[in-house]
Amino acid sequence: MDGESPPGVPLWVKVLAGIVLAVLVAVVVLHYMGRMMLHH
Amino acid sequence: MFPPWLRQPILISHIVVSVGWMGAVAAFIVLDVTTVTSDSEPMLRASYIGMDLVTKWALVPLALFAFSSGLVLSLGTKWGLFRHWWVVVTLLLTAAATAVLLVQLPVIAHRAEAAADPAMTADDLRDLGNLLLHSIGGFVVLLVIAVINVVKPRGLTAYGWRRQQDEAKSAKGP
Repeated sequence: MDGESPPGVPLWVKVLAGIVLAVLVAVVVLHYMGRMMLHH
Repeated sequence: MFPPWLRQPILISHIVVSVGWMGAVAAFIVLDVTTVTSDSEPMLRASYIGMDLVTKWALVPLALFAFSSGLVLSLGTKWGLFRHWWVVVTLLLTAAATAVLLVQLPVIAHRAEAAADPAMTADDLRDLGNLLLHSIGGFVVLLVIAVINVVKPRGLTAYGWRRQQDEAKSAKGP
């Protein structure tokens, strides 16, 4: 094991982070779209 | 490291309280859905007031205990707090869920106060709005945390990998 480089971020963490980010962006976009539709 | 006689009660408490947190969120969702679907004034009043009571006396204590028992458990066992990705991810998700809950506390309390006001009509009460996005989203997050905690997906962090290397070197001796 000596001399090996440390492991990178596992795939499941990247996938989960991507899903969380996508949901957050979708919620923010839908929130502002809803507010804009209410004003018009 | 905790001995088994100490680790097991903390682990059992952590599991029971965490699952209880999910149950309390489910009760909150039932009341939250009622505020959207019901036209009955007493039902709307009872739901908003019930949401406040469930939050103050079930959700917040369960969330804080689940978070703190998880911290204690990770620090007192081989898993550590920052050694494994599954611990780091569940820590972040639990902290986020707890933070959102605490931020929503004044909103929920305000709605309960409004619902207790006899001058409020059923239409006024319906206009107070719902927290379905937060409550259903919170339940999904807790479900993801539960799955990760049971499956414990493999993956050492860079810190965990270095600690493992150091421990392997010290085990070999000078």
